[in-house]
Amino acid sequence: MNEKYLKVVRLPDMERGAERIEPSVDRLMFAVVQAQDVRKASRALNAAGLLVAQLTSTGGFLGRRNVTLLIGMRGNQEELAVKLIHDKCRQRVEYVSTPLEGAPLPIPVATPVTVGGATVFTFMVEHYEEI
Amino acid sequence: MKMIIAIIGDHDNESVSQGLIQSDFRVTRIASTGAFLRRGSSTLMIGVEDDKVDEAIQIIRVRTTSTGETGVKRATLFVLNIEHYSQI
Repeated sequence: MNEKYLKVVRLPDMERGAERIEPSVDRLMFAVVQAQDVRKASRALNAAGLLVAQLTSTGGFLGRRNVTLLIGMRGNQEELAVKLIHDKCRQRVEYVSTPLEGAPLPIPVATPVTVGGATVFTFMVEHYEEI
Repeated sequence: MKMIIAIIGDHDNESVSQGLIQSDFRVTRIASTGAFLRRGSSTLMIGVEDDKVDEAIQIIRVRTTSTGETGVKRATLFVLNIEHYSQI
């Protein structure tokens, strides 16, 4: 691995010289997931040792509540993160009521709409720091 | 242009934002939760000129306070390159 991506982490209770070398975070992923999938997705990501912060957001075709996850990771973890998100965030069909075209009264009709999955963006991180 | 995404504890939010604003940085605050700091956290988005990144990080460094617990992070910072920036 490129030396640029390695940093030395010294844990507070470690003895002198006992340094642990671990690769630093070089990617930041934004994953927009549906509110009902958040808990499962964050749990899976946390269990895989990925750092996750959650921002509540709204948007998408139906303007529903969703959550944007910020996930810090190394390059080799990207595939795993995408797989976990894919497993936990299913696409589902929901029905919204729309008025029937041409009817004299607004008769609601159930219209199927495919929602979800997740939308994922990954950015390269130029600099990562923990204070 | 770079974007700094800083995840800090809620208790440092006001102090850090004020410090950045006083130094002419423009800050967008988003309330967030999550496992970086495991409790109420705030995410700051800060758009900065390339040569001002270090100054902004220094302000965050100085303005975040330790909770006294060892091994607890005060802030997590990501610096991203911005391909296009405009204010409309």
